Order: sequence, then structure tokens, then C-alpha cells
Amino acid sequence: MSLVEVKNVSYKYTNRENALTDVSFNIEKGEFVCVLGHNGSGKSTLAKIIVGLLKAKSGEVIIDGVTLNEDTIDSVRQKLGIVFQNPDNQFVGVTVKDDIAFGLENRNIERSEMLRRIEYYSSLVDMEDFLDKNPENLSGGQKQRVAIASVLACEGEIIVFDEATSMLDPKGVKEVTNAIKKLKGQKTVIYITHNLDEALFCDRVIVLSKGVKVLDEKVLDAFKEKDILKSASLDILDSMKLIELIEEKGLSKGKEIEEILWQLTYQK
Amino acid sequence: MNDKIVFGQYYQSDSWLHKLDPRVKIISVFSLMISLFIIKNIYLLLGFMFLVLLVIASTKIPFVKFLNSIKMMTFVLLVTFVLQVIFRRDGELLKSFEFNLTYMNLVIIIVSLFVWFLINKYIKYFKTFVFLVIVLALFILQYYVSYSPLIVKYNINIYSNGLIMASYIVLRIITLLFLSSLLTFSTKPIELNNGLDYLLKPLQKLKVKTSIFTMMVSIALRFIPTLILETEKVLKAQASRGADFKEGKLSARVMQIVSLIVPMFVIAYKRAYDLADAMEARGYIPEGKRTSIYELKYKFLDYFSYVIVFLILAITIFLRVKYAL
Amino acid sequence: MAINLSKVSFAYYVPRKKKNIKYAVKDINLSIGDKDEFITIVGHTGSGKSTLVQMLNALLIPTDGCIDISGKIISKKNENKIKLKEVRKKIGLVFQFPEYQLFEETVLQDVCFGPKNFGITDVTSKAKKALELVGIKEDIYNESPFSLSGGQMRRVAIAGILASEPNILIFDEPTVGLDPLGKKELLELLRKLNKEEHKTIILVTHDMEIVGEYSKRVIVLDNGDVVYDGDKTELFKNEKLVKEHSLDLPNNVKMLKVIKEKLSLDNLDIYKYNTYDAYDELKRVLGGNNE
Repeated sequence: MSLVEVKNVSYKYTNRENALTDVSFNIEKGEFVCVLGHNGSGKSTLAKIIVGLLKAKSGEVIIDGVTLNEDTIDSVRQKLGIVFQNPDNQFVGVTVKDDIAFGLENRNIERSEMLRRIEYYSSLVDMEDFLDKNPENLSGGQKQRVAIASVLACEGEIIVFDEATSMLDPKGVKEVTNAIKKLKGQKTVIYITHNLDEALFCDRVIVLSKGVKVLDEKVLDAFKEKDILKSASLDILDSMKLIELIEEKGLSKGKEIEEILWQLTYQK
Repeated sequence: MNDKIVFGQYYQSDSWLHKLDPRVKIISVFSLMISLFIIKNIYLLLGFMFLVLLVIASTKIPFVKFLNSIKMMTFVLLVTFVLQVIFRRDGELLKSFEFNLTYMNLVIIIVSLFVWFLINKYIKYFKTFVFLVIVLALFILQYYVSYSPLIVKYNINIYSNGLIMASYIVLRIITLLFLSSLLTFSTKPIELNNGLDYLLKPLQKLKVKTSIFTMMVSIALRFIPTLILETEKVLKAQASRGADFKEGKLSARVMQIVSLIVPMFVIAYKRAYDLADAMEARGYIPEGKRTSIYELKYKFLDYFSYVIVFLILAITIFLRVKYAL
Repeated sequence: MAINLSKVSFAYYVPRKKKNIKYAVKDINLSIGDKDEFITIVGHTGSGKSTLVQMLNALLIPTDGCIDISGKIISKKNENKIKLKEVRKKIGLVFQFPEYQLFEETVLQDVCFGPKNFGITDVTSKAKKALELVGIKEDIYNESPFSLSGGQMRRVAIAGILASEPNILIFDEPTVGLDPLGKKELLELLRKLNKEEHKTIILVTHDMEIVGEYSKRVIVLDNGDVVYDGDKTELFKNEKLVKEHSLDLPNNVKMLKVIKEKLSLDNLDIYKYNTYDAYDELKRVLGGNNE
């Protein structure tokens, strides 16, 4: 049994085309899965369905053996956390400490345990010195790290990142992805993005295009699927572009250079 | 630039008042306000005010901040004072002033007020003060100058009780402002909210949803600074599209205000929508039971403050009932 | 020269003791032409980029120094005399997430808002021309801007600035939140405005790929100072400067640099900013099309 099972999920917003059509996949415990797609590909809808904020029109989501529905959602939510795109709009508390506490208060955690978890998880994302700060005085990257700490503090197994870095500057992106990388081996991560190079730290890539799953591969194999990526309106990596040109037009020492470029990609 | 936006009037310090439990502060301010309205005797009021000033002095909050909070009320205070002085007619007659309203004086008065009306928007500082000086000058004029035919002669009589009553009312308003400033200067809005949350809890037994109310307040507190920043951004964006919020024809100005309001609604709506998702995803159930990170526990100083405050209330009630002070 | 900044400083808050003043930007000297330039402004969050571009649009008035915008002087001294509209008409500023400035009932009306405010004649035809430039089709002119997709909304908002026909267009991180395709479309639009309409484009960005591929001139801001102003390749060649201000190199440059080192190709020019140029350069040095 997989930790997350998405079975034939479809979704449609009123007066629009299908946002998701018959999407299925499984995610094992401890896996890092990247869901890639262009704007409007249905990837955010998928995220909301997995965490139970939207209800699939057909198909089902099974988390750790329990099918998501109105009766199970409150208990299943204990296992799930989500970090959204906009750093400001998910900051519920007036201070960092309040914000991390918010989810814990909802789960009726004892105050002493709350304080322990706040201390532990804020230092895990290097935000322990900012506990009394207001969100207006934090950078985007810092706010997103607080969001991560808030989710971690609830100690669920699965964390969904819904374009969590798309509104940040390069420094913020680095801070946040570093924090996410620390979760390897401890949490199951579903990382949603439209940037291929952010997929590099994941194990597996699922590509959505116009609401349909078009690819589900190990990361490095996925990079080779240039045609599928292009048809899904995604950019391929610059190194892959160069390799493609070399293969197409030829170059002496081409093999050697391809080798170097692959190494570069692995290193990331 | 962001750290300039401070919502509320909180003044950072580590005084005993800052450390006091917010519940104590809320209840104390209320009961002291009651005391204040019970006191009838001006000497007692002065004593009470002296106590408040002592508290202010002990908090390390600059006194200027308190004066600033009265500043907005200066005009109202002065008008109240003057009206009281002029219209109370009991007690001993202290002094009587005779004024001559002549034709020339009337013209001068009308012209000065007209000029004031034209130029007052260009005066940046001490506007109220300048106005008062002008008014005073006009009365002095009527007192000393009686040139040209007389329209009417009138007296302003100042009685002892009028003076006392006027000072009493003004002092009472000032003390009231000081008291409420003490609360808002020493307590963060969120602490106030937490205090209220605790204080209102008994109402939950009557099925009043106080937790939803305090959650709403806390979210408002969280998002007001963000929305202020957002408004500034929209304002600038429209200004760079040529919107001019100060000048122009009325119809154009209406359009420019719409150009500000519509985007603000769109932004606020989107934020609310996202926030609702974020709250739900983190397990918030509107009427559900929640624990709180803020634990309010009374300490010695809190009990002590309660005792003092209730003692003051009891004494003022006693004095009022027994001696009508 | 259209814009000249001399010794421009700006502080958001001027304390009583001038000694304690904290400048967001300080002592900036710059000249920007009103035709054909494509400038990127890079720097970390808080380096003063936004402050600088808002001064160019007279949304902020310099605390010290003055800005000369085609003969109109903007400085603290004549703050009340500046005809803001004339300045803003010539210099269009597109904020981050410009879609949040839409408010009218229809797309066309919204685009007309700017030119109307500036008292331009022939508003509708100018609005239509701007919409055509950004690739918005005629059949949605009468739709509500709020019914459009995110990418379309952003293009309509940009048309709203273009319609006033400014000579200089400033974009504050215009690609944030767009997917790769949307980003590419937008940047190609800016390139078209630069090449065909001869507009000066000033682009604030963090993305070194954009700097490499699109701009000619780069201005680097750090902590309120202009630390570099000049040709992009010269900047990338200056390893010390790149490192000091923790800037990144564009991907193609990085790749060519590694290839150059590993294969010890001494005469390989690594400063190529797209895949085709990079390939051509490799071919020039290595030659041949056999394996």
C-alpha cells in the first residue's frame, strides 16, 4: 500500500474546461515527487484535492489507507501539510511564534508541548531568532520558512509545496529549497512547480499538461523527454538544450562535452 | 521602509505596566474610568489625576506621547472650557468684561473670519492655535476699541463656580484620555485581544461565539498593516497611470477613487480566499475547541493591582454616597 | 540624454538629527537615453532598486540631489512646482503584479484610463494599438478584465501603460509568478518594444538569464550604491565584482566556463547568452561535425 494514492481524479470548475482529467499516481513513503506543469495545467487544483481543500468531481484520494471524504478529512489532515505560493496570505499569526502555534492550537496541543515544538521547528528552518517578529518585517524567503516550520510543527508525514518559491528572489528560493532538502528521508514531499531545475532535488517527476498526466519518470530520465516537456509548454534545462543541438548538428568532441554537461546536471 | 508601519500606539518598554496581565489592565482601566465619573469634588479629582500622573511617570513612556494624545482634543477642550466659563452663572462674580460691538468692529470680525477661511489650508502648523489667537484678538479689539457707531454692548461675566466647573470637566476629560492611553501605549493590540478573549469566555456558556469574534480581531490586526502597504502600492500604480487624487474635476476624481477601491477589493478578496484555505489546511474549525499559546496567569503584581484599583473604586463610591464628594 | 541623475539620494524617513539618516539610495549619478536602450537593474532585495525606479517616475522625490527629465528638474526644492503628469506621461512604470491595478468594466476602458488622465487625444485608437502590441485580440476588448487569465491580465495592464506612449518603460520584476512560456512571451514583447518601437526599456530583475539574453547595459545596485554601470559582458568578466555582490552567472556562461576548463580550450569565448550562440562558439573552436 502506498502512502498517497491518487485514483482517476477529475475536477472541473464551473464554466471552465476540465482542470484535471483522470489523473492517477501513487507516492511511496519518504519519496520526493515533483509535479511540473505550466500555469493552468491543473497542478494547484491537484494540490488542493490532495490536502482536501477541494473535493474531486470523480475519482478518489487515499492517504495512508484512508479515503478522503467529509467524515475522514479532519483526522486525515493530521498527516497532511501544505505550503502555498503567496508568503503573505498564509501567515495567520501576528508574530512568527503565533503563526507556528496556529496549527497546534487547532489540534489542541498542550501549551508546554507547543513551546517545545515552536523552538525545535523554528531552529530547523533557522528562524529561531525571529519568533517575536511581525510578518511585515520579514523577507519573502523568511515568511516561507515560517510556513514550513508551521507545517512541520504539526508533525504530519506528507508535505505539499504549491509553487512555494515562485514569488521569491533567488536568495529566498535558495533558503527555502535548502530547508526542504533537509526533510529528505524524514518526510514525504510533493513539490509543485513550473521550473524544471527545481525538480532536481526530487526523486521523481510527474508532468501535467492541460489537466492530464503526460509523464511520470525518475528525475534524470524525465529530463531526456524533451518532446513531452516541450509539448507541455515547459522549458527544458539549458544543458539539455545544448546537448540536443550538439546531437542534431554534430560537434567534434561532442561526446566529451555531453558527458561534462550531464555531470553538471547531476551535481546540482 | 516596511518597519515604519506600526499599527496601534504600542510603545516598547519593559516597565511594570507592560508586564501586567492584559486582563488586569482592561478591567483596571474600566473601573478607574467609573471612579473618575463618580468623583464630584475637584480636589479629589486633582488627587486622582495626580495618581494617574504618578503611574505615567513610573512607566518610562515619554510624557510627550500622552500630550500628543490630548493634542487632537485641544479644540474641543478649549471650547468646552470657554462655554462653561461663560454660561455658568452661580457662585461668586469674579470679573465682568464689557465688550462693544460697533459697526467697524463687526466689519473687522467678518473680514478676519473670511480671510481665515481663505488662508487656513495653507497653514501647516499650530492651526488651532493661530485660530484661537485670532479669536482672542477680536475680543480684545471689542474690549478696547469703541470707535464708530455702536450696535450693541454686551457683558461676559465670570463666576467662581463656572471656572471651577470648567476646570473640573476639562481635567476629567484629560484624565480619561491619559487612562486610555496608558492601556494602549503599554499593551500590544494582540495582547488586548487575548485579554478580551479570556475575559469574554464566560459568555460562551450563554452560547455567544466569543472565540470567533476574537479570531476575527486577531486576523484584522494581522492584515491591516499588509493592506496599508497594498493600498500604497495601488495608489502609486494608478498615480503612474496619471491618476491625480488631489486635483481635477469631480467626475475625474470619482473615477480615480474607483481606480483605487476596486483593486483593493480584488486584492482583499484574494487574500481572504487564500487565507481561508491556509487556515482550513492547518486544521482550523471555526467553532471547534482550541488550546492557546498565550497562557494568562495572574502573578502577585496582578493581584496587587486589582486590590489597589478596587480599593480606589470603593473609596470613591463611599465618598460620593456618604459625603457627596 | 533624457534622464540625468546627479548626486541623488533618498531616505524614507528624515530624522531630526541628519546624522542618523538612513538612505535607501545614496549619491547616484546616472544618464539614461530616451531611445533604444535596454537596461537591466540588478541587486538584492533592499538594495534600493525599487526606490530608484520610483524616483525616475517622480513617485518619490529625491531627498538630496536632482533628477533632470528632459529639461524638467525634479528635486526637493521645487517639489510643489513639478508637473508630475508630464513626467509620468513620458516615463511609464509597470509595477510588480500590474494585474492588480485593473479596475474598469472592460479591457478597453481600462487601457484608456492612463491616456485619458494625461489628456491625450485619440484615446481609443491609442488604446487599441497598445492592446494589439501586447497581443490581446479584439474579441476580448469588451470583456471584463477580471474574467481573463493571469497572463492576459498582466498584458492588459502593460497595455494600460503603453497606451500613453511613453518613451521610456520601466518594469519592476515583470516575470515574477509567470511560467516559462509566459515569461518568454513577455520578454519577447519587451524586446519588440525596444527594437521596433525604439523604446528605452529599464528592467528590474533578479534573473541573470534575462540580463544575459536581453539587456545591453547593466546597473548593479548594492546597499543603495551603484556599484557597476556598463556592458553586461564586462560585468561577467569581472570575477571579483561578481563574487563581491554575490551575483550569479547566466547558465550558458557557466556551462561554457566548465567546458573551457575541462577541455582547456583557451580561445573559447564563454560569454554567450543563448544555446545557439554557445553551440556556434563551440563549433568555431572545436570545428567539425563528426563525433
